Parts: sequence; C-alpha cells; structure tokens
Amino acid sequence: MTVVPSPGERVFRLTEITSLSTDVRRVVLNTADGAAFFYREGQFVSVRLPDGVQRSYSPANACGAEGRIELHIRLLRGGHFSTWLSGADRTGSLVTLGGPYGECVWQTSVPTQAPVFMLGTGTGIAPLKALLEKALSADGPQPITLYWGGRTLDDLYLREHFDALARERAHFRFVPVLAESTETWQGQRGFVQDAIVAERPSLAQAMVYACGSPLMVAGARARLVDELGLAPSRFLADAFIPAVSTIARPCEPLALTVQAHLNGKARPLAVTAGSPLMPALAQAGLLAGVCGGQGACGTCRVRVRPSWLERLAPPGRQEARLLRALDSLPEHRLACQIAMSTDLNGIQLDCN
Amino acid sequence: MSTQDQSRLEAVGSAYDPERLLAVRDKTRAAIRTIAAAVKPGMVEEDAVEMARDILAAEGMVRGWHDVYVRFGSNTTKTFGAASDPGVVLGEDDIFFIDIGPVWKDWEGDGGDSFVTGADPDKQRCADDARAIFHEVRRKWLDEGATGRALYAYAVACAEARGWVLNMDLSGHRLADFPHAAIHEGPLAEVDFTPSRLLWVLEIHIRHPEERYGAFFEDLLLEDASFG
Repeated sequence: MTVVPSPGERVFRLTEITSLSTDVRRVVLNTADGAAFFYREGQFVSVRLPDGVQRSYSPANACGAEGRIELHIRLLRGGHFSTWLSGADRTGSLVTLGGPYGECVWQTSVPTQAPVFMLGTGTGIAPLKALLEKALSADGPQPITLYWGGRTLDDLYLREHFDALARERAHFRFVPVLAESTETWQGQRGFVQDAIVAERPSLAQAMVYACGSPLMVAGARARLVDELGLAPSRFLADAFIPAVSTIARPCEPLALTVQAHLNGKARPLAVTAGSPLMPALAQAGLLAGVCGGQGACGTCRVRVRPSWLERLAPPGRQEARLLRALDSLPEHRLACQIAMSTDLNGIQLDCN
Repeated sequence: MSTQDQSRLEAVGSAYDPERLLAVRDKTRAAIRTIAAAVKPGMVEEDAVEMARDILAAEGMVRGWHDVYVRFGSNTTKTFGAASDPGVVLGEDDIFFIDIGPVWKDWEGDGGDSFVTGADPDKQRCADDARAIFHEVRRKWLDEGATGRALYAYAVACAEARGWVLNMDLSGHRLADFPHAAIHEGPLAEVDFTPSRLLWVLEIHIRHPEERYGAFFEDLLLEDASFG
C-alpha cells in the first residue's frame, strides 16, 4: 500500500516489534528515506496508520542522526492501534509521523547543579527514558532520581535496565514503586507521588518531570509544590490520556521568532512552529537557499550561537557530510534542516 | 525579444569557464554511468539515492544545485521536486532514471538518463525514446537555430509521434558557474531567441499515456561532437 504523507509528515517504516511485557510492545520506526528526524527528548509524535487513524506516542530513545524512533505501546482491548499492531505481522509497514509536539523537554535554563526528579507511571516511562538518555550522555553534575510506578512488577518492564543504569552511574538513582505489591516486595509501595513525599527530599532548587496517568500528574504537582517546596514553574508534565478518537494532544501552529544577524544587524523573523528556518531567511534576503531546502547546495549554512546550538538535534548524515565538504565550523548548520520549535523561540544565528 | 534580454538571460558569473563546465559535464555523465551500473533489481529507491550520493561524494561532488534523484518504477512519472512515493523497489523488468545536478568547485553540472532492467520492450523503448527525442530536438537547435519556445513545441510533437506525453514542467533551464539561479531561473521553453551553446540544459521527460512509468534525459545544448 502506498503511503502518502500529509504536509509536515514524514514516512517511517516499522522495522521491529518486540514484547516488553504482557501488554506493552516496543515498536521501532525508521525514516523511510534514512534521514534524521529531529525531536527534543520528552516530546511526542502523532503516528498515522495507513487507514488514516492517528495516535500520539513519545519516543523512548534520545534523538539520533539515523532517523530511528522507539515507541512503547500498551495494547488496549478494542483499541484501534492495538488491534492493527497485533492483528498481523506489521514489520515492514509504512506509517507517517507528524510533529514533534509538546513542551515536556529538558530545561536548559535550570542551573546544571539543580537536582532532577522524574516521576513516571506505566508507559509514561518512555519520554522519561529519552530524557534520561540525553541527560546521562551529557554527563552533567546534577543528581537524577527516577520514580517509576505500576500496579505489578510486570508493569515495570524496564526495571532491570534502570537497575543496571543506577549501578553504573553514580548520579542516577532508580526507585520502583508498586501499587499492588506482594509480601516479597522490598521496594516502595503505593503511588510515585507518595514515594517521593515519603523520602522528603528538598525540592527548593529541583526540576521535576512527570509523565503518565493524569491522576498521578495532578496529584504529584499538588503534593510536591505544597509539601516539598517545589517551585510551580519547575514542574513539567505530560499526561497520557488513552486515545478515544484521533489525535489525543492537538498542536496549534505557533508563530515563533528567529533573530537572524547579518553584517552586525539583527533581523527578527517570524517562523511557524514545525517549519524549517531556510525559507524565512531566504525571503528576507539573508541567504540564497539555491536548492530550495533539499539539503543539497549548502547556501543556507548559518552559524548558530553557542547557547542555542546545544538545543538542536545533531545533523543527519547528509547534512553532516555537506557541512564537512564546506569546511564548516562546529557551530555551522544548514537552515533548511532546522525545524522551528517552541524551545528554539528566539534562536540567535548569523547568516555570514 | 531584444539582444539585451538575451545578454541578461545568458549572463554568467565571475568564475565562468567553458572548459571547466565541460569538465564538470564529463564528471556528471561519468557519475550517471557509475550510479546506473550499481543499481540492481530488488533495491529500494531510497537506498539507491543514498548510494548515488556516496558515489558523487567520492568524486568530490557532495554539493549539488539540486538534490540527487534516482526514480524507480512508478516514481519515474514524478516531476522535478515532487517527492517520490516511498519504499518503491526496482523490479526485474523495470525502468529507472537518474537526475543529478552536482556542483564541482565553482561550476555546475546537470545530467539525466534512463535505464531498464530485464526485457520489457515498452520500457526499453521509453528509455531509448527519451534519449532519441533529446537528440531530435537538439538537432533542430543545431540545424535551424530554433528558439527555446520552438524547441519545446517540437519536443511535444516528437513525443506524441512516438506515443508518449511530454512533461512540460521540465522544460529546460540555464547552467553556469554556481549558482545559475542568481542569473536566471526561467525555463528554456520561454526563451524567444536561439539559445547559445554550453549555457542551457535541454530536459526531456516523457510519460506513458496510460501506464505508470516514464523516462528522462537531459544534457547541455552542444554540438554532435560532444555526444560520443
């Protein structure tokens, strides 16, 4: 079946399906063209099946240059996506992805020493896993504690993975929490918000990321702010709502700002969220964009100012090769390969 | 159209060098042959595109004034810039074309050609006719000094006579020291003077009137001696 993406969507091939637990599947998608797919860890994407039905999921892996996304999908009885996924061998199937969307991303404005707490339930672990991979790869000084809750041990399908990570990384601590624990369970019991409150860490300077059930998100926010002194602005959350129709979390196009500098002069330009930077820069006469955004000509090369550079996903293979061929500096990127997002609002770059 | 207009449309940049442009043309055609030889039935088009980029990179042509196109099967009906349907696999009796626009140092290349796998006679004829129509039209330019507009009117007729439909969205363009887009981006088909040698690319993209395949050939407008 030919899959034709809608504007803003990319085509992906489903390359792997494995069981993580009784009802959770790891689904691996790769871009059909092999190019990178940019997202910020913690964001979500909208997956559209060949029949047009869409569901939202958060990538469970840090963004890489190879266009690979790992999703954790809980099979729901009667669910459309669940039925499609489990109805036949879907390996090799093509789907389309929209996005990325969402604001539950790593906050670079928070001091690097600030302790980080992550609260997750069920497959809410997926975006937290991605955030964690990104944070640990950066090897920052902040201590990170992950509380992951489920009804039974089967729900904590990556428990061994996080246990091993905690043994390897001195700054990372993993706290599994079971709501329906057995007599032999030696760990925390109840809900994740109860577990963190019971430990009474000081959250005065902390940053908290919460992903999972809406009840957990709401309950955790209230308790952490009221009882542990967390600043409300330091609580970021993504509530997972089981899909009942199409897109569970619609995204409205936003007009964002790029500060483009040329010959010492700054030009603020408006760019819609999700759009590449190049067309706005070319229309303003700041660069050529000869190949029209195909990543072929290099005439849209810009220098991204340091504090913004780290917010960009690494260049894909094609972009990286072209940048090398042009003897580029580390801060050089192709504007046609940078998709505007809310966390890039106000991005500063030089066009010469 | 006045002489001045021709001067403007046929302007060149500061790095213009006819010998270099011919050298890049040779590199472009050699790359097309190398890419075509490496394309095999069973390949997915996206993999062929990546392979083509690797081949061009090995020849010092990482940069292009347009993207690399390798179109398989039904994607051979796609016009320039249109996204291919993803995941098309080249069949055993199939057709494909290559369209590259590499930049080597300061100079542009541009070339396209079509090839078949297996023994489908209609697809073989389609690939051969794209080439044949190119040379028929080129000789009209050479022998009669026809304008760009007249050349494409003739190209439509040549295609129809052979049972194909010419895609007029691909109707020729300038080539120069990089980038020709800074000089003139209009099509050859809207030129009302005799185009000069070595400055214009003649594009021939034909499609089957009913079946979902086509063929493509393009090269610079040059004399017979440039085509071995």
